[in-house]
Formats: sequence, C-alpha cells, structure tokens
Amino acid sequence: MNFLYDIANVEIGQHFYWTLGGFQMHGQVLINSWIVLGIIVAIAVTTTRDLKPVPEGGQNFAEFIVEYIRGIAKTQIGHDYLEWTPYIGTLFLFIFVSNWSGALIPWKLIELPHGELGAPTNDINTTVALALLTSITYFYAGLKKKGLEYFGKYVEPTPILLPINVLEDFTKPLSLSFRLFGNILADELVVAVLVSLVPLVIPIPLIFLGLFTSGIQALIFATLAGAYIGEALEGH
Amino acid sequence: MSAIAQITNRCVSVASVSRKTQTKRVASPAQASLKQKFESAKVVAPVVLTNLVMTMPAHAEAGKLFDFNLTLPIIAAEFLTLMFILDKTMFGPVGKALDDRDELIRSQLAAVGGNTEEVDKLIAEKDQIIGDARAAVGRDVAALKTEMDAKIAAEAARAKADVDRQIADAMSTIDAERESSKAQVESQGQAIADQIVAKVVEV
Repeated sequence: MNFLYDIANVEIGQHFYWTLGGFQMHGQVLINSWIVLGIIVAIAVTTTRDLKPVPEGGQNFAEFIVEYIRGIAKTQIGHDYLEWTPYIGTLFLFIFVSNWSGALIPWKLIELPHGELGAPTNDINTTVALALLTSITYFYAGLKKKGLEYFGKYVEPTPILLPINVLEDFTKPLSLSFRLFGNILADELVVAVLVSLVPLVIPIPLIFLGLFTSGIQALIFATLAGAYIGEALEGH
Repeated sequence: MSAIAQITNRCVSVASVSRKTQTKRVASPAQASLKQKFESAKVVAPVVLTNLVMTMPAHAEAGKLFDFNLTLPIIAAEFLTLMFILDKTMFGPVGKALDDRDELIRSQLAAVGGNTEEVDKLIAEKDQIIGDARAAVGRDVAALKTEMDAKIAAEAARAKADVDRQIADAMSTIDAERESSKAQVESQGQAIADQIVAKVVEV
C-alpha cells in the first residue's frame, strides 16, 4: 500500500533541471519527448518499409493515419492542403502520442531526483513551442501565397478592426498553448489526486476520460492549426 | 559463486531498504518521502538511467508551472526534425501510394468505360449477323414456297387433266353405248310394231 501511495504522489511544477551553456532545461520533458519521437519514428518506419499497391499489414495502419490527417487538412485548408499535411499530421501525431504516453506509461516507476516523467505536453514549454511554430507556419503560408499583400488582412473588412486583428495574432498561440497545457496537466492531476485518495479501481473511469480528452486535444490542436493556415491562405 | 554472492547482496539490500522504510514512518512525512525516493531509486529504477541523469548538473527549485527556458527551442527543433522524418517516411511515400492507387483505379475505370464502346460495336455486329441470317432464311423459305406452289399447281393441273380425260372418255363411251342401245331399242320397237301390224292385218 505504501508503494502505491508513493507512486500516486503528486508533484506540481517540480522540474528536473539540466544546464547547458548557462541555460536551463527541463530534463524530464526532454527525456519523454525523445521517447515519444522514438515511438512515432519507429511506427512510421516499420509500417512504411515495404509499400505495395494492395496494402498489407502495417501499411493499412499507415494509410489510415495519412488519410485521416489528409481529411483534417482538407476540411480546414481546402485546395492547397497537401503542402501543409506534414505539419498538421506531425502536430497531431506528436501531441496524440505525447498525451497518451502520459496516461498509459507508468512513468513513476522511473524515478528522477526532482520532478517526474509525464506527457511532454504537460509542460508549458512544449505547448508554447508548438503554438509558436503554428503562428510562424501560418504567417509563412500567408506571405508565401500573397506576399506583402498578406498584411492587408489587418484592415479588412474595415481599418477600425486593426487593433483586434493584430490582437488576434497574439491570442491564437496563447489560446492554443494554454488549452493543451491546461487540459493535459489537469487531466494528469485529476487522475493523480484520485489515485492518492483511492488507489485502486475508482480512478479507472477517469483514466479513460483522460484518454478521450487527450485524443480530443490532439485533434483540436491540429484542426485549429489547419484552420489558421487555411484562414491565412484564403483570399479576401 | 559470484551468482550466490549477488543474490545474497540483493537480499541484504532489500532487507535494509525495508528496514529503512519501517524506520522512516517516524520521521516527518515530506522528509521521509524524499529520502525514501532516494533509497528506492537505487533498487527499483533502471540503475543506468538514474546514474546517467544524476551525473548531469542538476538542482532543485521551487515548483514553477510557467518556467520558460531552453526546453522550448529544443522541443521546437525536435518537432521540426520529426516533421522532416515523417514527411520522408510517411506522408510522402504513403501519400504517393494512395495517389497512385487512386490513379490506377481511375484509369481502370476509364478502360472499362472504353470497353462499353467495344461492347456496343459487338452488339451491333451481332444484330447485323442475326438480321442477315434472318433475311437469308426468309429468302430461302420464300423460294422453297414458290417452288412447292409451282410443283403443287403442276401436279394439280396434271391430275385434273387426267381426270377430265377419263371423264371425257367415260362420257363418250356412255354416249356411244346409249346411241347403240337406242338404235337397238328402235329397231326392236320397229320389229315389234311390224309384228303387231302384221297380226292386226292378219286379223
């Protein structure tokens, strides 16, 4: 029982710091992100090693993923969706595998001096990195398609809306990053708190709820990124 | 020998850990859990990983949720690397496989559409052949029919002529016989009349 309580111990905002050239990093996030990257790359490489016209085995899985992501990209971006499929797909897969790894892998069995391993997406650095990349991507998409005319959207439909339009570029990454961060952290905390109260059976429904939320959050992030890119591409 | 030594070693360390956890209960809970972690880390966690991460410069700080540092650019770089790898291994090739399959199916469908033209041609040819055969048969039947009709008519005419001739023969024989019998009757009647006259005159 003591062991279970030890596993269920909650640590908030505890980080396992590494230092590189005077800068600090969160070691637990990086370790987990490498594991997540390893899982995704392993799946991608093994399922696509031998592509055939009539799919077999793992190729079905890879095609299912690609078609699903193409579907998301197509509904959000429309005509030029193929160019942005890798970005949206990588967002979806990275966030999805991160979230589920946090919920499914018993990280507590690996102990760190400080902090604990968990989903990489429960750290604000990860979500802000993804959100900023999304901002950069949609600016890049708009500028690439329309050149400097892209900035004309700030005075559309009327120049009075200029401040709000500018503000939007700040609220987009903010809402993206905080939504993901908050959901995943809260989900892990709810499960952890419940486990610390009742270690067995009772938290299982909440773990399933957490898996559901994790999947939804990955889908929302990818969909919104697609919507922002599509918005930057569409003509006025 | 060494295996036995290892086992005994482990037993001793487990025993010492459990003894320590027993005694820890008395100490203050926060301190206890911290020390306990250090202790169990030596036994439970993969030793290599733990040792590796503990050799790196690390120190604890108070809990921070919004703590931006070098993690952010590193994660961004990792994400871009992942995107590059996935584009090369998955989205590119699998997408191409999907498009190729679409193309193949579309071309095969188009080929089937082209087939209908061929099938139409074959159907027309079949109709033509059947029509020709019907016409030929019709011609043959008509020719046969006229031939038969002619034959029947000739046969009938011949039979009729035959019958007419027989009838005429029969009629002429009957006439001749009637003539002769008439002449006979007349001559006999004359003879009888002569006898009657002779009798009467005699009387």
